[in-house]
Amino acid sequence: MSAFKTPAGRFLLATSVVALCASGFAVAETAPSLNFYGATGLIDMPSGEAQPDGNLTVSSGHFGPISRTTLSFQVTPRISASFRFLGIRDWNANSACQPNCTTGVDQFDIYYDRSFDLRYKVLDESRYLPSVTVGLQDFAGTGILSGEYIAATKHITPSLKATVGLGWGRLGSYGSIGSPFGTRDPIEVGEGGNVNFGQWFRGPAAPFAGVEWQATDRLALKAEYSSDDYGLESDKRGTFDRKSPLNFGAEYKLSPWITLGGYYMYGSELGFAAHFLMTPGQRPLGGVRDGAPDPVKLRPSRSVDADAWSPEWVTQESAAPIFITNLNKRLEQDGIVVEAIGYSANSAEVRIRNNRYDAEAQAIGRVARAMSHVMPASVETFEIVPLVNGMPASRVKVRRSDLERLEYDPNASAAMQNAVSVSSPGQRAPNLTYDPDLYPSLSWSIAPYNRVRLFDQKSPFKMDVGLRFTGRYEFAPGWVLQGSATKKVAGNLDEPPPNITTGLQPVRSDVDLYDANADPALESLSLTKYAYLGGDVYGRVSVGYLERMFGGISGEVLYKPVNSRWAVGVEVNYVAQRDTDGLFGFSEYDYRVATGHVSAYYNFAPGFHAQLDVGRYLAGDVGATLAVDREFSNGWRVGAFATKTNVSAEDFGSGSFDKGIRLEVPLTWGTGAPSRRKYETVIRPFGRDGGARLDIDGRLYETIRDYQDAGIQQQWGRFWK
Amino acid sequence: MKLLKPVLALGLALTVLAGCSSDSESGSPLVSAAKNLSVAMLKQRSTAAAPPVTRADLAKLNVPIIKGELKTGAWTIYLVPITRSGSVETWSTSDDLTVTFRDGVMMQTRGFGPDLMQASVPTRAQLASGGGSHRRSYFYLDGADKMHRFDYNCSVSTIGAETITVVGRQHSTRHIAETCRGAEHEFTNEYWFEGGNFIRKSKELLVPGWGYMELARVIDNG
Repeated sequence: MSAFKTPAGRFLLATSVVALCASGFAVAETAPSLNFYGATGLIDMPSGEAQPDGNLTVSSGHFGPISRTTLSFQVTPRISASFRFLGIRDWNANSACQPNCTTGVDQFDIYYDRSFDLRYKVLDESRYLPSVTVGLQDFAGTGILSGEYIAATKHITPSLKATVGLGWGRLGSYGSIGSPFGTRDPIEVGEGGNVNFGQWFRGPAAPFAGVEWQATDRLALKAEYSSDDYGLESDKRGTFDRKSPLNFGAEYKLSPWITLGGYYMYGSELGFAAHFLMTPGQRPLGGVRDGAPDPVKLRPSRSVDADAWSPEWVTQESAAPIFITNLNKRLEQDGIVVEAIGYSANSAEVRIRNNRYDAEAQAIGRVARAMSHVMPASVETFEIVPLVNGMPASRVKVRRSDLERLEYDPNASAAMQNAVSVSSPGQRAPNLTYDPDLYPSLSWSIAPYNRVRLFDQKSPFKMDVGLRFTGRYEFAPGWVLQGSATKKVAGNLDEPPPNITTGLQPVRSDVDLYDANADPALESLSLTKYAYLGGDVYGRVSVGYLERMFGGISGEVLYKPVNSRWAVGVEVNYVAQRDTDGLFGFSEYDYRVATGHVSAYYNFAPGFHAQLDVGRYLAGDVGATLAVDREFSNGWRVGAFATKTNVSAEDFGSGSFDKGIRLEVPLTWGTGAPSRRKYETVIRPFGRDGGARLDIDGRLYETIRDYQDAGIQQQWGRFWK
Repeated sequence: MKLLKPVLALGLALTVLAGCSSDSESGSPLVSAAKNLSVAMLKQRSTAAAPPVTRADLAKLNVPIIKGELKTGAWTIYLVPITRSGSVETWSTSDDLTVTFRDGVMMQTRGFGPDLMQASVPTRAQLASGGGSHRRSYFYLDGADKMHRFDYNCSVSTIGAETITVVGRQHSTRHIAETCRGAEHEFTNEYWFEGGNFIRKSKELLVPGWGYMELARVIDNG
């Protein structure tokens, strides 16, 4: 048959999904667009609107000497947050400090800064009322962009909308109408990173306004009156000449994901902006594309073929290896490995490893169907136990007759979901037999890596690329010896940033030394034992070179009931700081520390997850970390974290305390093909030594939870895929 | 333009480059996607040059065959039956695309991507009657793996007698239309009944807002 297939058309199907998804949402008259700050708004001014829930945008806006790159996230339908990197060129070119621009902020040719925003949409647009948003721009830190606003936006016609607003701080600096809420005290910068409550909505307020006309589906024209007089950039430092409060622009939507804009700014400068949209909640290509499953095999009717139903097969010896072989033949193309089987006449337990499906429910569905082909007719109950690092994570019970009855049901998905139960792994089947050929198993890979350092004082972005060699040897279920080594090929991470000493052991701030000295580097080499301890308790012990900068021993115990929204864990480590050459020694720093945390995990609302860690950090400081993530069912996570320890702001250094944002992007989201790979990144505006944790692989909570009740149910629709 | 770099970096970092590994299951999906694409492009080129598939080619295989066409012929597939359970039959291509029929009416697909996951469909007799009305429900997964249900009110009408050609052979059929209206879409499926109530050919909706699958029974008994 292969001569006749013409799969080229498969790619045409991708377009259909966008159409299907679009039909599910009410399409707004005009889309809420973004401004130069990467916030929902006009050109340089904000608007009263918000982005659709869950949208993640990256904006890069440039005019004259000013460049801003912003990551914005619509956290809930009303709350949005931004993290921004700002650069102002010609910072000293015409400054009063000339010719001796060497101290304080005068020492930089380009002024770099980072800032956070928060916005809350108070009111949705309705027939007579506008949408209204209150925003805090650059609400923490040095505050060069600080400003607060309230803005209202209303459609006048379906394609024309108008915005009016009132701004404070930077946004109240031109055309002020007075200070309704009192004077604005100067910021006490200190080490930065502190929230400037005292300033909010204080000082002069000024109105701003603008219009946006959606001329065609792709082209929008914008005009605004700005209340920002750019006193610092224009008057004080002469980086550009602000001549007018009026800005004009045209924006063109290149695709649903990319918008480009060109502008004439402040009567003197040309501007350019690019906005990239991502919808973490929805894969751009829609449903995952994957080969069709084998349909469920029906058992013959008992009356027609009574022999087939006989339970006598149970007494046969060596049936287990045959079942395992036959199951693995069927599951090979699904990337699923059956490691062990145990059975009685009417029930069978299989232990599986899922190497492929991002949706755990799909792996369960494929295994259940394979079992319908392989298991004798008398086996009515299929118990599927997903293994992760050799540990059973849950037990999924599927009745074979439900599988047979519901496959073609008009309500197949929901009916099957009701019929299946997920419980804790519990006792293993008494005659559980492992595939003797599976252990020991060796796997390895050679792949490119990149390593990025953001925001060091000399340059906002540095990167190395090279090759990473990894090996993983599992000599028995739950026993993992793993190692990885890197060899740099190119990059500039070895250019050191200015040396800033903190009052702490340099547990992280010497990262540039590791970057510079460790090539080739042994990143990790460790032996780990993972164990299911019974009930809802899991354990881990790791020993060796645990991460780039530390080696030692790490132990962890986790209590995670399979159906619960919460879990608690304890981790204790005793580690020593490794030498910067990336080899085996510990003598360079001669630093040892006992570090560990008690952790609580809580899924406090659908799609929202919090983690609180309390304990002792790598530099010996004591405190707590709170992390909150928005989690999408397809595996995307967008979150923020902050750590406060007993280290003073002075000892911590710039930023005052550790905080940052993190992103986790499943590869499947981009490719539309099943995979368990994820891309993870953490962005810290100031990476320092306070509040630093051991960076260890295989922490239990993340290892286990995908295969527990919530992880399986949230992508249940894939069971029958 | 220095500040563009973080944006580029993000894009770059998201692009997981190809590596090699001992473990084929965890091989880079990007690599396999690229492979599929190149294979597809080669196939497309070679099919363009190759002579059209004839009835004799298909008959040689000695199995029942359905010829499926998507996007009005841009994509042709050939399906053979793989399982039957009561009135439900599943047909498959050699590369794991399946179409499942209940009583001859399409009710599930797999392997296409935007698959018809489950559906309630009319019986063949309802359609063959050439009149009357019924309800349909289609279920699809979106990009969050969430199931979406689309309900339709459908009415059946007879268009008339028609002689159709299926891969070089003529068939006298009755042409029936099934027009369905839902809250968000409407569509018309068509059926060509031969000799009473055998569906020789049909054109049935795969995904709302995108298109139909044309299914013609070429070889009945292989």
